[in-house]
Amino acid sequence: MMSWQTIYSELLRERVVYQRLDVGLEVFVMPRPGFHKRYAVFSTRYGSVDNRFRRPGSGDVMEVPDGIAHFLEHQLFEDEQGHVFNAFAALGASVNAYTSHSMTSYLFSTTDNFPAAFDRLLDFVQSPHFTPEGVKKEIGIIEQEIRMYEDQPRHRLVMNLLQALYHVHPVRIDIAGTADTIRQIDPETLHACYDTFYHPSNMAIFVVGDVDPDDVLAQVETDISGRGYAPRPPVERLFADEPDHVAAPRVETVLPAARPLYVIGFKDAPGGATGQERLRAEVVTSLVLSAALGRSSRLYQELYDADLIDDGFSVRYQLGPGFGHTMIGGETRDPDALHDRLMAGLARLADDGIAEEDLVRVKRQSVGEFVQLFNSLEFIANGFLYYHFLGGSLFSYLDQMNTVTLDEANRRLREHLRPDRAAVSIVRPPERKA
Amino acid sequence: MRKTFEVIDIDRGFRLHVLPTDKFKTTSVRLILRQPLRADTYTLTAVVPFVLRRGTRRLPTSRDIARHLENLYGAEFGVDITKLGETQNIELSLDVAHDRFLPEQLGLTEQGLAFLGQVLLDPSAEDGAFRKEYVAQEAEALRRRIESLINNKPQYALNRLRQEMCRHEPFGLHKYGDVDELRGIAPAALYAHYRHLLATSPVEVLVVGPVEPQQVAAWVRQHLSLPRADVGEAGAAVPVSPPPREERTVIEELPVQQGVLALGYRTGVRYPDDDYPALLMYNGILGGFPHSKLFVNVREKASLAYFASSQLEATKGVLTVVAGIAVDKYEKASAIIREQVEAVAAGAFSDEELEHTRKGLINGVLSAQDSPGRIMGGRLVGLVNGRIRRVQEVIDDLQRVTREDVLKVAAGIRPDTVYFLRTPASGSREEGR
Repeated sequence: MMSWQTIYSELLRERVVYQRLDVGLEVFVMPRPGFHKRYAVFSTRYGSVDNRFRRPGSGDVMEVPDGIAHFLEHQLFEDEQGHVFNAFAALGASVNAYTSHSMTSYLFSTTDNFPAAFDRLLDFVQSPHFTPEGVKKEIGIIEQEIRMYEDQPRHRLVMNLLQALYHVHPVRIDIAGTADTIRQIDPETLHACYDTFYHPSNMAIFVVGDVDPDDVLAQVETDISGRGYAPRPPVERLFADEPDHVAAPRVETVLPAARPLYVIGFKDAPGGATGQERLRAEVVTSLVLSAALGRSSRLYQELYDADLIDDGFSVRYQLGPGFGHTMIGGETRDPDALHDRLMAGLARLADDGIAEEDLVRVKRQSVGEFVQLFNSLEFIANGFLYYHFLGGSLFSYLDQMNTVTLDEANRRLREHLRPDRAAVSIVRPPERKA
Repeated sequence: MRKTFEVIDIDRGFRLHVLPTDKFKTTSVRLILRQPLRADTYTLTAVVPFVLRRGTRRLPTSRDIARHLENLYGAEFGVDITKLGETQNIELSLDVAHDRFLPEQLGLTEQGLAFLGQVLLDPSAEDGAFRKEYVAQEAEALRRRIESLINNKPQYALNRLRQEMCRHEPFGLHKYGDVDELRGIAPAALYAHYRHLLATSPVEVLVVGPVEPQQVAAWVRQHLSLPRADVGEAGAAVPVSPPPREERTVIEELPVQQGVLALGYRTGVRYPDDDYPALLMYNGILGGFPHSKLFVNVREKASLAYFASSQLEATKGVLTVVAGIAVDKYEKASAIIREQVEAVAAGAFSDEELEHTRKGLINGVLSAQDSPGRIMGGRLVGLVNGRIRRVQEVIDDLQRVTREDVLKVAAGIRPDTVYFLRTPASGSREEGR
């Protein structure tokens, strides 16, 4: 028997077991008997914001083209024999990958042949094959992916907002880059990024489903030990200093859309808080936002009754390395009227404070919603690694939430949802000719 | 866990389907009123659930409902319209966390059913009419939803393709109704239509969770006592299909960065037919997976697109292909897509492609059993089509499909309509549709 550490959730009656290999790779397994599907994700702490860093070994500072983390994700699906998709198809497994601001994840799910598919996952993520022809082909595909996003008014709305909120932080860059920046990518730069960020010490694996953790670990250890990795210190990322204030208070653009779109962002004070502290901020902020703007709130009802928002109205807090912000918005008939009513409502709430009974109720809601999320193996694996990479734990989410006090919530409300830290982005459809 | 639903008759044309299982953290409920998709009623039918969710007699505002749901530990409540072939189904859905995972035992499953009963049977209404402002707001919201489809170009293109392809068939109607009719919904007429639906629609209640079927049946009888009359037709009949005709091309111009090419085909084979598993295999070989011909040839080999795939609507018998391409690559992309369709028909697919597709489909069927939503969605497809296909049956059928079976299905695939969404040619400055 290998010695596992166990993380247990009393409420969910679920356990996650955990080991860290000598070369730094972290392996998590959550057994879920009764499910047909087995789901594995292999992730690296490497996303679109990691565009300036010190190369391990030489210590040289490197600055790379926008969109390269996402480009690299596409390119790992190239291998010498043929296409990675085919190898998984032969096993009846479904493989995919995604790149976010702060991580890149490779994943598959299968109801059969788990060990063989898991071997394939371990292998293709650790077998880069970058060629000039492969890069050229990928440029055509990713350019169409970028065009697809450009035709989504919502995507443009959010990109414009991030550029208004941030002066220099790379969260303001599109994850996929642009048609111009991806043309600057070559095999050599891809290799440099790969060598820096795809070392086991920067990576983690999560497996969930009807599996035996010892079997999973044995497979990982056999694979990793055969690849001759040497231990390595953490990657040093170089972020320029981001000011507290926003870069631009308001940005508007005209795009073909059914109706105007509005979003307001509140920039969080960046800083050197620990992972647990930042996770705490997320938990408190989510409760504050539910109490302030959830469907049971006075403000939501007011905006809905005034025909300023609809079902698509969304409110969320986003957190990542060196950044954090709340985004509130959706489609509206009148962005300016929505803005005025929203700001007046938030100012009123800052004066009155959140009521105790509202906080109690949104906590109940959050507990139940959290439990429901655990039906999804995909949520469990991806959510767990996301919080782990931020320095927190998905399982501690509920404990954190239960200990949030009314004072803490109201303090957060007043310090975070401040007009002097806000930027607004608006997309308007072209004026119609009479 | 039981492998199949237990079916309990509640009333005339009103059945309860329960799948008891400990696998999930939730109890999930779907309450469905089944209707044929018909030009004279579809707009009214679409508005009904959205007005119902606005308020009940005891919880008269959205805010009251939201508070109630939050107190039920974040019960997820939603309403929607599901269009399957030429049927239009009103769906009320509720998912609650199971008591055993919560700090207190509130009997959430029964409370959830009681809430659904309130929404369906005791709406906020007076003098035989729904509240005026709710009707106006929700009809307008649906109209906007239809218009906002333009914000998602691939979805918009697929919807326009189906609309053009089936412009003389009920399937061409939008599930949320007609944008002009939505402007003039009368609260009293809507209420009368709603009462008619309660009395005559075939009703299915689906429940998946750690529950005991007879107990659930008792709760349903108590909280969902519908004023039943003679039950009408729900549209399980074979959908309308036009006679063979020339392929038609529709080009629409909008200022877009990316063109969207969508092709529609008639399959001849539908969900209840014995050839359905072979049709699934056909779609999988052509464009259902990343190993399929469309993905490999349009994206990986020609580098023309980020997405290129095919989709099946087997209740109607329509197959669609969609790809996002540069506008000037229209000819090249159409040619490659047509070559793939012809290749499958000519038997130009390897045993490997056949087997990969078979495994991929079986993986999909089994994976669906890990999601309450997909289990219930599959059940509804079976009910609408008048043929329940059990999981093991589908898997066995897929195991038996031969190359010849696929070729037989391929021979019956007929091209119908091509739709292309593109940016106006340079020089042209005209606006409008």
